[in-house]
Amino acid sequence: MTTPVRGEAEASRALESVVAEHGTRIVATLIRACGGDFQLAEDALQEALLTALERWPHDGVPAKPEAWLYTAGRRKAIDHLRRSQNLERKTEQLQNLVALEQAGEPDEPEKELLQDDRLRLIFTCCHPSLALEAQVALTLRTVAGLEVPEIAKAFFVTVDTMAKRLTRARNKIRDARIPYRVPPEHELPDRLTGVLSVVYLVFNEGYVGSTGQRLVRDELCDEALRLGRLLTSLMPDEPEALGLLSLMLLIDSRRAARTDAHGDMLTLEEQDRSLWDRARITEGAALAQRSLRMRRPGPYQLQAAIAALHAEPGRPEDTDWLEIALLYNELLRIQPTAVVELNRAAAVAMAYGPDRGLWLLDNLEAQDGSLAGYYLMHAARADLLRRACRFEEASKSYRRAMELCPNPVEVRYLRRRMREVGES
Amino acid sequence: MKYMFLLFNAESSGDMAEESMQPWIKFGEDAAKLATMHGGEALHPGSTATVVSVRDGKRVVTDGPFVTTKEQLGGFYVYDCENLDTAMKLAEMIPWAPTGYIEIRPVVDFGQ
Repeated sequence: MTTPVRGEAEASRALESVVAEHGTRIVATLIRACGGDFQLAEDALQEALLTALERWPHDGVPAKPEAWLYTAGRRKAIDHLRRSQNLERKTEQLQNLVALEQAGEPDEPEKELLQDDRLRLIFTCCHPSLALEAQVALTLRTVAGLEVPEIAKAFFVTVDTMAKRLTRARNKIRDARIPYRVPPEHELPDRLTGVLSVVYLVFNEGYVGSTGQRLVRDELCDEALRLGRLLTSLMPDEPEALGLLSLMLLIDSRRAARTDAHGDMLTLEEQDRSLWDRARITEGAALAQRSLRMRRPGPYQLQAAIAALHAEPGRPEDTDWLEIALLYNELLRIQPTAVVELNRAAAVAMAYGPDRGLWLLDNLEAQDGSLAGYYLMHAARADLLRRACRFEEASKSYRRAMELCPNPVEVRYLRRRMREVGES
Repeated sequence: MKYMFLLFNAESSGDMAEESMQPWIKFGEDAAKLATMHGGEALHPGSTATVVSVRDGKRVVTDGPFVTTKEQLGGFYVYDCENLDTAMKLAEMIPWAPTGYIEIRPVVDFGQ
């Protein structure tokens, strides 16, 4: 049964919506059929899409277009292997594909199997043997379905560079035989941490954009949120996956308020809270609660709980800094990093006064000399000195932070602050 | 699929010939449960290496090793493993993993 359509425009619209809705599922299942060969599956799917564009305007859109694309893709993969001169591994792959073809794999494989395929896809894209930048690129291309030029643009590299990065990653998956699977139970916590950090990196690249002129690049934030939702739907019992989604929603709720009309950064205190997205805050805060109730706390859950305490009060002066400082203590215990230390010092300063925070920063710098080259260290110190009304010292710290800061938008913020305390 | 495991370690701790064999025997036994061994050798230190090349038809010989880093190649294994995850697990068990580095390289299969 087919729905007749007239013209290519309608067919390509239909195709676009199938790909948007089912793209990840189709590619995930096709990769499994191709024995984990990403490149083969990707090429086969591209050809299947071209065939669809040729045939659908005449034949009509199939009743189950996603099953049509999957089956067409599998046949393209068989053609590919038969044409290919490279004998290496070909036979095994071909046997597998032909077996699937003959078995007439059901048009709609079990829902569970499909879920497994998408998880397999995510875990393989984020395999620790791939370079982090390759993990990010592969996840955005294959799981999120972004086009190569879009990804290249988001990471400020040429299309050619990004295409090569993706090809190298797919070749490594095939040649080093990175297995297409969800890792076994005992490896899962470690591997999940890797997956979550790739998603959070995509989000942060969109939100902070270490190299961009604009502070927020919406499409990367949106993709990260979509990936976060996909992960929580596939792994509903993983509190850290919930925690990450919650954290991203809460940070993202401030997207519209984060910069002024000139694109300059505003602090939480300065932001117009009526611009905060209440729906995101409600959803994010509820998710944070739900994750913490599972009683397996982790860094994303704690950061989400902190973000919820920032997001919920209507006025900055109602923020519960004591509770935030306590949560930072907890976070520091499981994630002892410089950034957490700095944030804790800031929270302690808000709860107990700037002197207490400055004391923590002094201790921190005495312990770890490398922090002297870290702009956030100086920015944090400058902020506390400003609050302590030690303006001259504050100005010096702002200047040092500016010199070290890689992000032009943040540099503009630091310069504005420096002017406020009176440039010395 | 065959993988080669290249064992790197700081030269001072890197002379395999001098090491106690016990951990290596234990590794061999444990590894046999995961994968099939296809060879492996311990190497004398980098100070014994010689590098040969041919340029303009002439043999050029220099004192080795070719790559002069603090970590030196001290030995290798070849194992047939199911996939990279198994190979990574095996690499983790090699007695040098806690002090040195294990590089895993898939071996090309010419499909004989």
